Amino acid sequence: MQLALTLEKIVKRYGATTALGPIDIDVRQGELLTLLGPSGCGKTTTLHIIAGLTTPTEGRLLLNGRNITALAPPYRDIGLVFQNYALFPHRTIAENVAFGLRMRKVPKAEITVRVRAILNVVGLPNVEERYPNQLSGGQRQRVALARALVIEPSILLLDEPLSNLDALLRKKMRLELREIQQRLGITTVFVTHDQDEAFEMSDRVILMNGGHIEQIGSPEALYDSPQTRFAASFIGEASLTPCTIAQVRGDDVVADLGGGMTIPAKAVRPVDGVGSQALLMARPERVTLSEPNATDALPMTISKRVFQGERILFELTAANGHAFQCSVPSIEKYREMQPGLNVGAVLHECRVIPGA
Amino acid sequence: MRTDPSETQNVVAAARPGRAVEAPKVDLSGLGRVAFGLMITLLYVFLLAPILIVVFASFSPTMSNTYALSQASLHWYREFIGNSSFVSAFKFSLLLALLASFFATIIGLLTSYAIVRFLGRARTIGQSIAMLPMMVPHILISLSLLLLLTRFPLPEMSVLVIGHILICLPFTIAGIMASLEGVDPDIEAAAYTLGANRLRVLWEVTVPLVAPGVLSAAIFAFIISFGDVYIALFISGPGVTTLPVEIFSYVQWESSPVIAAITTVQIVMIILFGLFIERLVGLRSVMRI
Repeated sequence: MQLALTLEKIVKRYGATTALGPIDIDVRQGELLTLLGPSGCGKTTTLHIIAGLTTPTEGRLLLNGRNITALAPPYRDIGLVFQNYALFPHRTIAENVAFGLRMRKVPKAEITVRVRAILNVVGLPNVEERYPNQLSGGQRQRVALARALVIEPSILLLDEPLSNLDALLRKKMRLELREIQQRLGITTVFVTHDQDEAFEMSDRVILMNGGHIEQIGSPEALYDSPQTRFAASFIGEASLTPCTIAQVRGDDVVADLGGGMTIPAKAVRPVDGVGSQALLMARPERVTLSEPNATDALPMTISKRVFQGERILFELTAANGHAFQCSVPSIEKYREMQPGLNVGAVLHECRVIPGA
Repeated sequence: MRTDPSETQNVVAAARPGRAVEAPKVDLSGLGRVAFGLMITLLYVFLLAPILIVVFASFSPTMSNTYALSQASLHWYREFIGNSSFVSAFKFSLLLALLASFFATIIGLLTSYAIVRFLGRARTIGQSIAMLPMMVPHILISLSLLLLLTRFPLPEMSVLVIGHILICLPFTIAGIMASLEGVDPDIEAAAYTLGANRLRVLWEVTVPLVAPGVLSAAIFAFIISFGDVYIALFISGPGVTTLPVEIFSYVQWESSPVIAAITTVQIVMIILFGLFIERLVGLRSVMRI
């Protein structure tokens, strides 16, 4: 796999406080890599370091093998799309999109052709003569994308580009953005705090927290095998319960939750052996409900019920006091179940995170 | 891939901040209304009477300041145009004000850009220092410039220009800073990442966006320079001087409506500028220091 961009031991310090790193990131040619994390996790700082808007305190940046650490943004060959689009309000859409080409001294005739072509790619023909304030948020978003893409940068950087759109449009733009990215095959680094965006759009996701990297992997890997407590709690819904390892056979372990409650699970990485401490992760959608005395089922009591429309979320409490979330489709069978009801719960595909 | 109209509507509606500022309603009736009207009228009379008296006097047909309106004449305006020392002082003031406002605007633009974009936490300090010449009495500035002139015999004109730049700077800085604060730093960053160097960003993006503020700051500086008495009084020696100084020395010996005529010309000039600024950015944003 060819690397487009490499961040080597990048550190950003403000005075005595370390805001970021050291982090190492490899961005593969043509992939969409997402930096995901809560606010203040360092994802935007990382993006600004790649763009050159922030200078790293330590470390190196290699773009296509070339060291660009000390290079100012105008000479970096990157396209950056801002959260608020940052279009030039005093220029028409055509002038906005043409800006980067003009700075690169591309001949006028070619600029006209390329501007028109890229506006077609982002699905915005016939707006060339308008001004940014005459466009809707979604249209401005597309113009910002076109402006970054038209210079055919080595790498496209997206800084929470969808967060200013309303929910419906955001969902639509996710797919569109991904489609354009794949069609052009452009290497992209995408920053978001929204895990749904990260899952739907990314080839790989880097989960960040407190200025360092928690985990790198495909969306599926992050969801299925979170390596840390933070990863397990930040991504998706999960019930996290401390447990002791009772049995080990390869990946397959049995977790002891106390009070005679044991659950088979898969370890996300090798455990320290029988008797070691770990964290059991149960995803709500992988919990099924049955009769209280069914075989394999753990006896629990419904302690809370939240109606979510298409799904119903139950909170279940076991005899030993541990609580688990259970999400079921909103069908008649489950509609009737109210708090206080005794049920049997089967926890499928649980994970054990050693040492967490 | 096409934007459907519903998308457009949604976003436009969402982007519009629902922040309607309502003026406090004052409920007045009868006597209160009359008293309120009277107060306002008195206030305007107080503010405008001096100007109106001067304008009235300028059209006098004689040396006297009182005349019947039907006798109004342009006699004193002719007198002004015919008086070579007044005309050359007027031209001199015009040139000085143009130079001072030009440089004060350029320096003010760069200073306010630096204060707004690069000072970070030291910003309030930078702002206060930039405002200092406004706090210092002009007579002090004039005195120190005079001392400078005795130490270094610079050309009189250059010291005058420097002095006027000094008294204009706080106003240009404050005015341009107000405009700069309205420019999203991300817009500059966007141009920067698209291949424009810092100077290019300033020229292509920032300056066009603050142009109305810059222009009104220039006009404001012009007005301040044109009206200055102290600095010109201290610095300019014998020979050509500025209009206010010329007027000043004239009224020491005699009083004639020619001064009123000159002043009226200035008032008209300033009102025109004021209207122009009002159209550009609104006077309030420039006056707010």
